[in-house]
Amino acid sequence: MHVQLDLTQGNYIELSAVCALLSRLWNQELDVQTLQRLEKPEVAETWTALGGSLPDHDDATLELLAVDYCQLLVGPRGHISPVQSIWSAGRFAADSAGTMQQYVEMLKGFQPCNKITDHVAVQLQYLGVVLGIAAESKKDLWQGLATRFAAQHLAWTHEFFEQVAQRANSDFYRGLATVSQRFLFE
Amino acid sequence: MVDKNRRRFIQLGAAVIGSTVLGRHSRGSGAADPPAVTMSGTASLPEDFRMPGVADLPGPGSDRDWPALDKYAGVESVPGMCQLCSTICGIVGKVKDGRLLKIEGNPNDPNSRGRLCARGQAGLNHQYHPERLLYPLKRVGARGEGKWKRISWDQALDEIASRLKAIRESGHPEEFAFHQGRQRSKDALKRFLDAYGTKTQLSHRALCSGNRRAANLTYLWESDWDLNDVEHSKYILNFGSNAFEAHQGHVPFANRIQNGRFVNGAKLVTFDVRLSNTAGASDEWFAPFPGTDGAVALAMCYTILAENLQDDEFINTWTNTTVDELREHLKSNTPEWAENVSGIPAADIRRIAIEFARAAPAATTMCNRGSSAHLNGYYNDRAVHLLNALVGSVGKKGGWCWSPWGGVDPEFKPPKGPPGAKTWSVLEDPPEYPLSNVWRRMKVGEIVYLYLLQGRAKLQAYMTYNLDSPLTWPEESLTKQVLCDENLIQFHVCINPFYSETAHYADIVLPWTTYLERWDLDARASYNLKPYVGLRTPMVEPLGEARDVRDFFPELARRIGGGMEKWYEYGTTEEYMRAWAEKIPANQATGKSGLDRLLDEGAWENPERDAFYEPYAAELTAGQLAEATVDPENGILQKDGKGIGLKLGEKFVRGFATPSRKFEIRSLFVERTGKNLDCRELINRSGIKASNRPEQHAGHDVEIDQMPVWFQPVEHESLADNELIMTSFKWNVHNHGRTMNLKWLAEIVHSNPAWINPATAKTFGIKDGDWIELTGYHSRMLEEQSSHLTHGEPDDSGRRVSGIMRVPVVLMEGIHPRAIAMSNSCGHWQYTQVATANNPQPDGRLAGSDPDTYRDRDWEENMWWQDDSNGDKSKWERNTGNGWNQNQIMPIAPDPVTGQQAFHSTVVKIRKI
Repeated sequence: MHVQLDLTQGNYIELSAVCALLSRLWNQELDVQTLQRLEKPEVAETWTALGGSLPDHDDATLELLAVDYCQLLVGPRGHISPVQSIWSAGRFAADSAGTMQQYVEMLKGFQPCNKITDHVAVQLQYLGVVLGIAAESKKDLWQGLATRFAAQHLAWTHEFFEQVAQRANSDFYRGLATVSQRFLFE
Repeated sequence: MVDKNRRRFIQLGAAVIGSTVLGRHSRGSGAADPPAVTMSGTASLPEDFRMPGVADLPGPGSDRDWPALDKYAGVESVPGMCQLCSTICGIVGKVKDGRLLKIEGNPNDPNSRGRLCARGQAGLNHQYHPERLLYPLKRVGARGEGKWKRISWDQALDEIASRLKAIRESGHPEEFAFHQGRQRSKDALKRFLDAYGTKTQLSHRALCSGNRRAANLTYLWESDWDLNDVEHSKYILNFGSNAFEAHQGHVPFANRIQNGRFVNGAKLVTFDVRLSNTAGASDEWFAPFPGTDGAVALAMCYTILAENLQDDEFINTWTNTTVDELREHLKSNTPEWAENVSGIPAADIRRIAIEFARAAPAATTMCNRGSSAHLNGYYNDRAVHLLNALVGSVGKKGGWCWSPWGGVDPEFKPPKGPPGAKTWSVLEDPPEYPLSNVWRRMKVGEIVYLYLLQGRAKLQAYMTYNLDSPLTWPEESLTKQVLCDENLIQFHVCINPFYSETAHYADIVLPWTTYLERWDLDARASYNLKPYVGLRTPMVEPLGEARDVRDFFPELARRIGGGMEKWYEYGTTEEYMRAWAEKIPANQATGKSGLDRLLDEGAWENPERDAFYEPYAAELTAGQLAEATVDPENGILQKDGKGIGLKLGEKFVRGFATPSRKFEIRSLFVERTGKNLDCRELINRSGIKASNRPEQHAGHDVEIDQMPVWFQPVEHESLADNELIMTSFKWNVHNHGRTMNLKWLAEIVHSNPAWINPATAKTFGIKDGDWIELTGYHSRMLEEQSSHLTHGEPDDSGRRVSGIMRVPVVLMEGIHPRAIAMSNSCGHWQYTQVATANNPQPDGRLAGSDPDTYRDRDWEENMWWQDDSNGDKSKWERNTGNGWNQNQIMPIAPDPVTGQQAFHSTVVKIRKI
């Protein structure tokens, strides 16, 4: 599946922010602070309209979500790996990790949010950063890079999001997969 | 993206920015405005921009992932040491872009000489396994339910420190037990446990080599490890060692055996109940009745004396017996007697004994678990070693040698650590096993869970490290029961690179680095008979949040406080290693010394040291003799109250480091220790540190014979027709519990049907592929001699059953008719999809992989062994499944002398089903 996100029409700042949001949510369990921000009306409205879901705001729910996150993405057994290398080669540190590392090194100052550079969270973070730069200078250059990057390092996520949506126990993570899928592939 | 969606995402983005959910250019951590990101290097990208040096990913539909032509161009070679078995061969990692691409043997390693076995090659599977643990986990359901959440290292260390601190402050630090499997960071573990103040450090040695070590120590005191000089030998007599596949010396040893045979013309004769790959590659193979190796060895001793082929000079000068005494002692151990118990023809015993003696002194025995993992294993190995003394090959070139250096060259000391902890725990030093901890800490690991169940000890905290006890220890069900019981083990932290059967019963799981990601100075007893220094170094960054104990123990110590922290003021781990390796001299060619030299070369052996041949004959120097006194009764030289040598005629020589300063065929020490008599004088005469604890062990006397003798366990004397003796073995592609998850290896061996001799099978009406039911029994001998072990209910026949399991059989000529063999390593139920041969994906692909882009034929087509019969034996197909854990039926069975688990003495009843 090819990434459908059209990067030729501008709005890079906004798309960059969406990338950053999705990156944050894939990288770590939902915490109180992030949930509070997601609950702000202007965010919550669009989030739910795109297929996202917001959980109850209590410790027990966050704990259940943390357990769901773990069984979905961390393991220790039978999880759906959020790492491209696993999808492309059945092991960590495959070629996609090498190319990701080179992309990372191209951007001075870029600090991956996860040590595993071909983790979906880093890839969304990276795309967001490149789009953010594209909004400020040399649009064509950076938009071109973003397009190539997305094709090389985000196409794999289609199946990943689909499996997460199928296997998530919580509406929140099912919704996160749906929103992510729509963002990149619809 | 359809316009409607796009508009909504733009709205979402705007709302996110407006609500400061996250700032643009976020690094993903929620930071609002991270530093500006700029293009590195060139300001523009070429139109045909591609990533250099890396192959394109396979596109959709592609079924091959061909490596780039320049895959290995520009790789960096990083030295390290393997740890997929205990042999720790030197390795070199080929690293590019921070990724490990290949592992090879390191030719600079003086012990392994650049050889690397299949396990070592499969280290890549270990490093980049798709199911590696990457984050700390905390249990959220019931223990053993398998429900987890990820936690931060901070939270994990805080919780662990809080528990350990409370235990330490309660005045019972011994109620924190550290339980290790294979470990090669001895200094780091000791530092932490000594700083904490607990001596309850449990190991797996009793499952492995306790009897062989104790037999060696009885003779030598200074070494628990015989290093047979097979490379220079003319005759190698092997009792139950599978050196070509699994010996602790494995590849370095196998390499030297073959050099001995094909360069030096040595003959290799193997006694083993099973036709191992070593037996199969020998010049002669004999299958003795299980546990009778010692009888065969004693009969050979008898023959050598009867034929007057013994080395009189060695026996009379260097042992503490005489030829006449030995003749008297061995007078009933005739080859005919041995034939009667072992089934080995007396003529062969006699012939081989004569051949062996005539080849001496370039003749050596070798042995291992085949002879030692028995209820009479200590005596088996005492008898086997005796052969070398009779022919005078002890310490000789090509003979039976040893060295006092079991680890890193003692010239190199790590930064000073805390004084040793002084606590005592019955788990660590059970008084019932007199030789288990007398010279070295060998522990009696297999009793740990039973003693906890019996209430003989209490554990407030239990930290497991590279340990898979439910799979590898006897009585799987008892192990699981205790691990699951929060009253018996109140808090369990598991440190492991993979989710294992042990991790399954933990409260917190810490993701451990692989041996390819961490630091150690390491070495093992080298077949060069010299010590060396090897380096294990991080070839790549730890994956995910995996961390080594060298990295997080200092943090844990600081959180526990109470003075622990002061032992971690040495700086970084690299600085610690640098201080440890400081004395390594400069390589004249490179100018590099110390750690820098090791980082270049991986290992260093001092060229100025001599091999440890005939150390006992070395004359003492004037300096050594200064202020020494001679005991006129026995010629023993003492200095400062410690034995240092022996006066022989007019010479002052080193002798052996034993109480008699001779090779102790007769050991008063073991007899007295067994009876809990004071041994201070004997210990002082040896000059070797040993424990003397008659008070502590009082009331637990065990008869230990002074001399090498042999007896048959009572349950082996009259096996019923439907009973066999169970033996186990390792394949050359596996270690015990840690390699079945490695795809390259599991593809070669993944299952373990029971081996039965066709003649035996015929009496049961069993055909190849049939299933049998195995019933394991507790030892009758131990019920009489070790009543503290008795547990479980007797069956109708009055015998206590240790377990029942059902397995298929494979008929093999290469097994003794009264033995049944199953390999270990199999039967995992938690240890990754590969090890459990259980892939939940309907199309056979790996969970979490893309069926369009990921076409791994190894997995999709070669993972052909998944068992889809769902327990229906009529649908089971040969060679499918992940095998069976033999420990479902193996009873806890410590040799009463040393505590070594007598895996190979287990009597099982078989029934065709």
